[in-house]
Amino acid sequence: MRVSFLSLVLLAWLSAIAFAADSQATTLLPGAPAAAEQSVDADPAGNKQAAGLWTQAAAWVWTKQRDFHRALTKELRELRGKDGVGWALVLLSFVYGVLHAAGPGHGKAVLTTYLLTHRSHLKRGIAMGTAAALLQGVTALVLVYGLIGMAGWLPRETESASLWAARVSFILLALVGLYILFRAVGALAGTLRRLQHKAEHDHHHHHDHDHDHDHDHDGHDHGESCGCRHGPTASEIETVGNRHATAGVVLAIGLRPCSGAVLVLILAAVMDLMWHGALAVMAMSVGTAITVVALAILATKAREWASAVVAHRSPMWALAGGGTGVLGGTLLLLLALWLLNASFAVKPIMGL
Amino acid sequence: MATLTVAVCLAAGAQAHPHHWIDVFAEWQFDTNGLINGVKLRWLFDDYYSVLLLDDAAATGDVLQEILDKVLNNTVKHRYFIQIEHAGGEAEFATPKHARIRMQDHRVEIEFLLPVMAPLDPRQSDVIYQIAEPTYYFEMLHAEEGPAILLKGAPQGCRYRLEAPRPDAALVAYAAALGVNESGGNDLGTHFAETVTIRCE
Repeated sequence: MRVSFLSLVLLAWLSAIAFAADSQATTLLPGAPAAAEQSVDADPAGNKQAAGLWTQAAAWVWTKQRDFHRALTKELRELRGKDGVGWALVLLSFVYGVLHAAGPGHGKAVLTTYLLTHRSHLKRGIAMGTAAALLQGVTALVLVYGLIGMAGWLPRETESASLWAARVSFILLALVGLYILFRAVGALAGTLRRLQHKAEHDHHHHHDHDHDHDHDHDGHDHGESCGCRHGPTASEIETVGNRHATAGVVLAIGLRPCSGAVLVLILAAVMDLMWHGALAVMAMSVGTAITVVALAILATKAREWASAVVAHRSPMWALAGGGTGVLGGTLLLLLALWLLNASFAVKPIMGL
Repeated sequence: MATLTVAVCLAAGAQAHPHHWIDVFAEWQFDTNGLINGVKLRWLFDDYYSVLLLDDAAATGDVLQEILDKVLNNTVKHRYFIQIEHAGGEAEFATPKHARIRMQDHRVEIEFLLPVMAPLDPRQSDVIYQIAEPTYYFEMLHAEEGPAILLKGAPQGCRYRLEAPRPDAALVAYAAALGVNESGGNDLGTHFAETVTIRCE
């Protein structure tokens, strides 16, 4: 079951990249007419009152990212034709990994949502974060070096392969969002049914009849087996679903190489600095893993804390959990569709 | 939940402007009377853009020439990305001369001499200029390495002052939220441009 799911994902990923080989990559030239001149706010500066703390933070993050891209390019340029490991580049890549992971990204959104809505051990969250971050580095290496070295692609062509790999990860993101959403809706419906049920009983059979449903309806671990095993129990289905979701989360993050890694590898390939590039990307992954794992621990702890505050298994907890799941799942789904749409609108007519 | 919304919104920044940068060198041409009759502009594209634009550094002359022609053709209506203010008016340009393109240390470099229609007298009033790619797909700043601004043949007492851009946070965030396919509007880039003043006393 798990194997087939994984192979399905990998197959989709590979065919997407193969497809990229056909789609002509285009590069914009300066001054070329914008394809779809969008009617944007003619005076963006007019929105100054909106420049709150949040905007400041977003601006800072973006400015840093830009500086990092410049610095990475510069380090690579200076390494050319020199001997040595290039520790400056490795260190810079590591710091970039740590900070880049702290910045914007769908990976963080999907991992936090998953961990907030699923009861899981700390170990599991840590494992997921580490796996996703390291997979991301491997993905970049396979996509850029693999395609150049084994399939004979030109360095610049691998950029479009990264784009297609990203699309597959967006689709996975949508699937995980759907899964979280459906699961939460199911749990909510169950809780509501139980509450209604209880209310009815309170009304009509107040004294003698005590329907003691002794199973857990909070949607996480159904102990509901009817005794006669005609099919998989609810908990078994839940486990399989959970496993798929875990793999989905890790792949949704890991199959999309980060822009900095692709930049470094493409430049390294052109500049004959293959080993330096690989080393830099590994350092980047380790940096990313540290931040992502910190985030995973935070999310798991937040869930534990919330469940301690609101008595676990109370209807309140179940409703809050369901609500979070519905909201988070919907947001992930919307984010995935938005990213997918944006990725297809990329680089229109301006190219050569 | 707030964190989540924030994370989702932030993801918008993934493909933000600017995507590439151009290091700019400007060599101002003074005639024997101390008037500015043109500027030699040199654009050095970033390494990554150069790789994406060309298959390899050994691109042949024909391929490069085609790029040069297209770039000059595209930028004429953007006044070659430079705006010069003098004595309350804007300088007009003649057709660029001596345009050439080459690979400089794996980077595409374009150079051309842009003559001004009517020579500008920097003693009469300051010459103030900005260089920007309007949609802000490219960030154009004077190069950090080497003298990026030269006053060639300028009389004694001529100097320049470069002011760094000070875009407010709202604008940076706005640019960062633009997708690759979205245009930043007609003058977004100018908000991120340096302002240089040339003064002769």
